[in-house]
Amino acid sequence: MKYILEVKNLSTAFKLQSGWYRATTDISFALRQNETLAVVGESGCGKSVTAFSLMGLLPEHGSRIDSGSALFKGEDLLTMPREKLRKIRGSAMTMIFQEPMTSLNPVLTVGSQIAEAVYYHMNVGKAAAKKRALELMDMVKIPDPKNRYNDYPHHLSGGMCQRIMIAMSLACEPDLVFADEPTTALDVTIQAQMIYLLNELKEKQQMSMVFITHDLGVVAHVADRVAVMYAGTIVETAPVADLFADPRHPYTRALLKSIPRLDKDNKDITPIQGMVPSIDNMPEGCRFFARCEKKDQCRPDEFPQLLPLKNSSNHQVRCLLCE
Amino acid sequence: MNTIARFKHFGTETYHVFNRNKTSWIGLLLLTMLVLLAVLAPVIAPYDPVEQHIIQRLEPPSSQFLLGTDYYGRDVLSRIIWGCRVSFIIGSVSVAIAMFFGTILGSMAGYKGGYFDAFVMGVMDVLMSIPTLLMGLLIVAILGPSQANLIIALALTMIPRFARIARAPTIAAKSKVYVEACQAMGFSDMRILVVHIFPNIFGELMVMGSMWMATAVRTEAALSFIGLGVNPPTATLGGMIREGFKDIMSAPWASLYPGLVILLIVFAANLLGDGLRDALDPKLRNEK
Repeated sequence: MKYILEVKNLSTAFKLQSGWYRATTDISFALRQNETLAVVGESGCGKSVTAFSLMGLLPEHGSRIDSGSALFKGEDLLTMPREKLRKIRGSAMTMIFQEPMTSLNPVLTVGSQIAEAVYYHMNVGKAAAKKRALELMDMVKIPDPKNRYNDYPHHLSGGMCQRIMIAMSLACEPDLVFADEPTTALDVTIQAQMIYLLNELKEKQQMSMVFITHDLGVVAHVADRVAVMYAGTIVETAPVADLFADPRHPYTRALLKSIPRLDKDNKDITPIQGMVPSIDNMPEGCRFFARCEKKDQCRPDEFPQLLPLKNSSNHQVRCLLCE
Repeated sequence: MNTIARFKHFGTETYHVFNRNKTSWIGLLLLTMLVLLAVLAPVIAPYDPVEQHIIQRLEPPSSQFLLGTDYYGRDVLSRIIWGCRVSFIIGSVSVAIAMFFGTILGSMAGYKGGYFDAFVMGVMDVLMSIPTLLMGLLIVAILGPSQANLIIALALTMIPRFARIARAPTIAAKSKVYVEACQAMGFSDMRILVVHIFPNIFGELMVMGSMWMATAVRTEAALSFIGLGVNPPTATLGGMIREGFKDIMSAPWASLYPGLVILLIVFAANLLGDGLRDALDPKLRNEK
């Protein structure tokens, strides 16, 4: 089975005043061509850190990758020279950011920013780059691209800016796109448009996507597989249907239970008690232990591994009780 | 869109904002007039600035000598026009040099951060701790008074200022998401600095450029006044004030008018700077 991206045991640490602490621990996942992996989890659980580690965009000072490998089309992203990684970034592997309004340079026209990406990576002339930029603007369904080309970011709405960002990141037909909460800053109707657009373009260009979000509703729409993250680790990963039908990890279950639904009376919504452990005070054993419903049947001393379930190898859970 | 067209578009918006600010027009008009005067000095000046009309020494303003004559019988108006030329050359060249090197040093220090930043800005701070006039004195004392040495001295004192001005907005821009997005697009550091960060700090640099131009003109005048500027008999505004100073009670025109012109240059450059600041600030432009 051929994977576009194969991440194994990735751990990233940040420097705080009292020393180095791991923001993510033992992240492993694999992604096939044209597959979407949704990474879900609450704020600060390490979703974005994972993406930034793989893109090589962590701050130079105060962060490091402790262990792991990340094979992208057979080459390790984590050990390759910076220059080589930089060339892959933006062409074969790109990223869509959370806030479209601030992700574009305010003093350059939106069209020229798309054209720049084309010009820089595709080795074409300026005229060809402009033509391609107009095509891309049409592709992401921006009405009247010719006139919008010379607009500045502040002339456009958030949704339009996000379309520009999508056009930029898809300019060089990447094999892999990290979408870091691309819909979070947009209102709900635009969110749906954006998700359909991304899905459509993904099918068209046969690319793989890592879709980072904290919205399980979005996950159901876009993902082929889901990885649920909690406190810097992946606690459960499964095909999207399996995860919603048969969540195994107590955290996933609790997460699903805490979503209000329109078609139910919502009396059984149960928030998860307690707090996420802080980065400088991670428990040795299971990180969800203190908040777990079934902690009476479990023990806090052993750090569980991400292991496949007995009856389905596709569904992996990090839980001592599920082993 | 290619770079030229991009700047044209940028230019039209800038023009509209600039246009709303009437005082900046006064500054631009005044400065343009003075620059024209300086550029066209050989054509406009009624007399040779060093030609001495010994018999007509210290003559008050008349139809023959519009602003009078000085101690050696030289036409004050012609000397002012030629003096402007010297002032503008020294002012603009020293600012251009300082802006060029200061911007490179400051924005690179801001972008790279770490030890490089600490080292560069440390050196800049040392340079900045020496007052402009004192630094000018020092350099002129070492290299001798001449137009080129004056330019070097002024540029050297202004480089740290421009470095600071370039560094702060570079750091601010560096933490913006769009710079992160550029990094995610795989652009090289050089490209991010020149294409993406520079247009964002360009406005502030132009404003400071016009303001420091005024200071450079003033410092040049001060150095010439104490006799360390351009060698006589070359006409300089500061030198004229000095030469006319001893007869200020009987013939005030010899030093009063050059002083007035220095004031005009400084005033015009500052007005222009204020106007430019509003016109080039991307935030103010949005408020339409």
